[in-house]
Amino acid sequence: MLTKISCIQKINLNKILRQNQRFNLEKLKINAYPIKGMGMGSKVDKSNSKRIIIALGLILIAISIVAFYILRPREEIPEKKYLFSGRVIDSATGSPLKDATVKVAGLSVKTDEDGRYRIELKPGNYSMTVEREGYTSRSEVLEIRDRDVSMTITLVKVRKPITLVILTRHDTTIQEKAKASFLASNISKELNIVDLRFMPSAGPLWEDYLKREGEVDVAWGGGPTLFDSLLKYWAQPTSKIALEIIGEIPDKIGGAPIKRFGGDGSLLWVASAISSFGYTVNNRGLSSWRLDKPLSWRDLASPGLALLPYPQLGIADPLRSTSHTRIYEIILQAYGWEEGWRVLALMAANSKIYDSSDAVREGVITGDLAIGITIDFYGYQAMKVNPDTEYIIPEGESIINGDPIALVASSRNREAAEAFIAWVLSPEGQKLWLDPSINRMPVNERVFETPEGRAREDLRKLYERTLKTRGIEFDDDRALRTEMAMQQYFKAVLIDQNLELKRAWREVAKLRESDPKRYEELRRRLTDLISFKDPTTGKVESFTEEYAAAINPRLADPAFSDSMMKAWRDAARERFTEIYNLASR
Amino acid sequence: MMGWVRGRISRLLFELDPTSIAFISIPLFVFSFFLIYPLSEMLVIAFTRDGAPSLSWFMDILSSRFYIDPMGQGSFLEYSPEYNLLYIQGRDHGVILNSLMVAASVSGIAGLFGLLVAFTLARYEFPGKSIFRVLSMTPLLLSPFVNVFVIKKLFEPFGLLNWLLHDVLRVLPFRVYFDGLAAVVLVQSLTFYPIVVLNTYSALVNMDPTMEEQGENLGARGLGLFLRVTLPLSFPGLLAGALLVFIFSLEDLGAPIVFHGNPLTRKLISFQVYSRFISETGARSPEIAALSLILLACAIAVFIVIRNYVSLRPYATVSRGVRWKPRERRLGPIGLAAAYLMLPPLVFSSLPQIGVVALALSERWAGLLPEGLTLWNLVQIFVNPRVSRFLVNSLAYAVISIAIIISLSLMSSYAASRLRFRWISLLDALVTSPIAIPGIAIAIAYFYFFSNHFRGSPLDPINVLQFNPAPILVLGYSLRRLPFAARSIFAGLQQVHVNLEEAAMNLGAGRLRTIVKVTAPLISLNILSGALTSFVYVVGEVSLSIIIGVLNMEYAPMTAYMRDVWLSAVGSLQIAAALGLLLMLMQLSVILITTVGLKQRYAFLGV
Repeated sequence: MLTKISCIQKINLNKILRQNQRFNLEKLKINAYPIKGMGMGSKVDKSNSKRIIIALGLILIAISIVAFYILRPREEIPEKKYLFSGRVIDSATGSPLKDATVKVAGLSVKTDEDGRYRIELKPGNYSMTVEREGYTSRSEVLEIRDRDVSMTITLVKVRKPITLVILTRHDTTIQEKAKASFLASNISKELNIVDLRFMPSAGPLWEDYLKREGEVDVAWGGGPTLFDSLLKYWAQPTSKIALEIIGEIPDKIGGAPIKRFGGDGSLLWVASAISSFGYTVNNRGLSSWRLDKPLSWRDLASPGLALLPYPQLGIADPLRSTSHTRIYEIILQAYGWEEGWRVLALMAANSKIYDSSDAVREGVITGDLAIGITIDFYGYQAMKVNPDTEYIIPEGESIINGDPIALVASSRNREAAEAFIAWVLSPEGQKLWLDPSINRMPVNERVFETPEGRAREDLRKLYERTLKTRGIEFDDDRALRTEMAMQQYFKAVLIDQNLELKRAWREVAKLRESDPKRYEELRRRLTDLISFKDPTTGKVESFTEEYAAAINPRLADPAFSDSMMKAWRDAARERFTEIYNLASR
Repeated sequence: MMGWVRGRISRLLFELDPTSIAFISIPLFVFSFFLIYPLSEMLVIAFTRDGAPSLSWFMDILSSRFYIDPMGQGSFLEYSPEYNLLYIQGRDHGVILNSLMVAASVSGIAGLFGLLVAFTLARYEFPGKSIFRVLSMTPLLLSPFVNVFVIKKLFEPFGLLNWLLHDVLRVLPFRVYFDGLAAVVLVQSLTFYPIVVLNTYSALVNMDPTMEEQGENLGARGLGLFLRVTLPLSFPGLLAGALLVFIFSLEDLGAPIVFHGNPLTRKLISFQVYSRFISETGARSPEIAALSLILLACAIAVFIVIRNYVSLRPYATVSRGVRWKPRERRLGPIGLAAAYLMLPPLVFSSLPQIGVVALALSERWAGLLPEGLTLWNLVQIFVNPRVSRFLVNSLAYAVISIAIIISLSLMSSYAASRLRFRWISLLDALVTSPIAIPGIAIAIAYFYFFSNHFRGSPLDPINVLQFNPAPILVLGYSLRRLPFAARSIFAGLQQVHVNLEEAAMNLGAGRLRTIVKVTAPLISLNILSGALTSFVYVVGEVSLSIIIGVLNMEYAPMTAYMRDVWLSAVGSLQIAAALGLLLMLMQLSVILITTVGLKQRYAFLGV
């Protein structure tokens, strides 16, 4: 029966054909329609497939015949071999390496006593590898053409990558530039020093770090007093390069020790930079306040500075600044203990007292202060930033300080640490100080022969001047013996009681013109060493140098220190109030 | 007797469910172990002398004229005709009295000025109001270290302010030099008054307007209405703000450091602690420990006052969630003039921030004004790959800290405000106490705590190569800044009447479910506000960052790097200012994002 399919739909012809095998499409719109038909179970024409198989087989046979022909083993033509030879040496020492394995073209040869090897190779391109235990293996490409080839191969000793830990009080600029320079140097590459880790740390915490053996490798920058207080942690460098460089550095510069020796004669630290101490003035400030340029420390104690509406001199708390501690120690030794304290007292009376030496420097730069006592490189920095400022060394009243670098005895990377120290002291490393944002005095004169050195004429002139500076004979041990006492007495008497001190001094200073005799008398009494009641013995004592040295070791105990400072504070307050009353009568 | 105990226990158990227990114990544990214990370790030395327990350090302090001098000395101000200069520094009454007097003055001035600004913003509509709003918030943007330099430049005798008032406008016949305590009071008032503004504004805006309407119905107008209705109702908010400012002033270190060259400024508790806590020998001074405890006691006493006074007046309303029509009036010409008169002080208070921006864009600032407009400094901080690392560090720490802060403060504030216990307010006080603890004390306490108890591990600060400061920093930031979120959430909870939650619980919701579905959405703005302030303060945190953060610069936050840059080579001041600018922009963007959502609804900042 004919199936009538009228509209266009997807029809399953299978179903229709199964039923009646014929169909008729009607009522179609005028268009072209695709018709798909699907059938199941078609029969394969066997005869066709047979022919295909035979054809394929013939093609395969043809191909294999051709292939065999092309690839047939040919007769060996004896080829000329050439000699490939050479030596294998150590990159650092240059000495030959025996028992290094040279592998090429499937052959393997060991070098002899002299580091030599010989292999015979046909012409061609080869990849060669050289290996030896304890060394980084090396691969090379080798081409043999028509003659013998000789090659010297250098192998680099395998070193564990080393990170040096450096305890320091140098600021970030110095750290960053030193790191960049050192890690680019040959010696650091050779010893595989991959990183410098700086531990910027305040003085009091240094001992905590150094007590942990093996944690720190080098100590750099922090002032000689700090390094001297930790002598037992330093060791003498023994490597050739270190000793060579250290030999170039003088023992003293301008009378100041550049090297510190231990009791047994071993070298414990070497200064890597030198500084002097003085004050930086702002010339514009000096002229607007009608002040004379100070020429000595004593000028900073003048009554003229007291009568300004607000202070124009800046000093820092010695407990917070090692450089200012040094300056006060210099003053005490330049003028003697008693007279020195008179100068210090009046300086403090004339000053704004800051918590850091940076703040003093900033004050001079911005014009807040007309005078600020500073270490030399702060002065140089100021001069670079503000041309109105000027660094002055009081003639005959200063010293030169070496800022040390030392090898930590318990370091586990001795060789690398000594290489770093050697680099710091070498002209390459000393160039760091000549950077325009650092401006420090070097210890190795040869740095001025480098191109960077020659570009800093100004620093060279300052260096020459520094060398010629005849300062005072400074006794480091004597200063150390009373250091804590000096700092705490300064704080308690001159800083904590600064208001009373200022008031008293102003009243006294006013008498300078009108009643010179009374002025002299009151000035002396104001600046006499304080008498106070010792909190432990109850006796009345005076703050003499002997007394200071006697209590100095005990001041490490905070409880004792607090009670001592209270005693000083109260006594000073009484004295200053008394003088104020006397002067204002 | 046993019956009484049993009765109490059963009442206790009635109040408690697992959620509540967790809410109490978790913050308690965290604070005890990571705040109380390290501090106690540090401060126990204040109670021993020569090995024996003793109160002598306290006695010494309280009896010493260095610390307490009721008579006072020095003159408040001095006029020097020779140099035509008025020098104002304040009188010296000893360290402790100085601090208390300064704090009182600051909260008084900030309170008054803050009230004025808040009232103007809340009750009046006038052109330029958004500028007012922005200006009143700018002092919140912190930019440590650089603001020191800028403030000095503004205040010094030949600085900007004097130039303006004396040379240009000739308002003053002489130059004024604010120094010493007077300068500290001035600077702190300007820095902290936004806190009063935020608190008072919120109180005014959330006040039920029907109260004022009733007052008007009964005939009160203008000043009378203000004094008898508005002010008393908003007083808790105002007082909370002012007392918070009191505490901030007590422990603030920023302003004293700016002016520390003057010996009078050094005689403040915060400065003494900062400068003497750790001496050159690394030893801890017992006298300073005792002084810190005295500071702590003062601050906590003030807190208890805030807490008790505020909770005396619950001004929650059941109709929470209804946005009532704000009572804002347009200002007439006289009113406008009065409002605009407030503009100069507002601009003045924002000058430090403006100055930092100027410094960042300048080549040098040696004289009166910055010179040399340049983008070099800003470019430097982006070109330098190190800086982006610090930025990322700061942001990461802030985000993690906020997560910790919000979770802990939700727990403790909920417990404090909803659970009916005698002693629950102690938990609240504990959680808020970090505000009163000087950051530097926490930093040093952590240093010793972690190096003693976690020796050799990556948490040990002295472990040179492995030390990772991140966990300690995050912990410290979270605890130090938690109080803001806690107070904010607490205030929000105070305003959500407990009936709403009880209704939910009556219908069968458990406590946790209630909190999640009912309470939290209602205080969402407070939570947001808490998170916002936490972010701002964490990112600008200084004390922990410069003591612990610097020990491993890879993990250091931005503020640590700023200090480094500022202190190292000369001339980096501009780069540090650029960093400060970046910091301010980060804080500003967070504030703006949330303010757009908060619009009129400032939640409490503080209490």
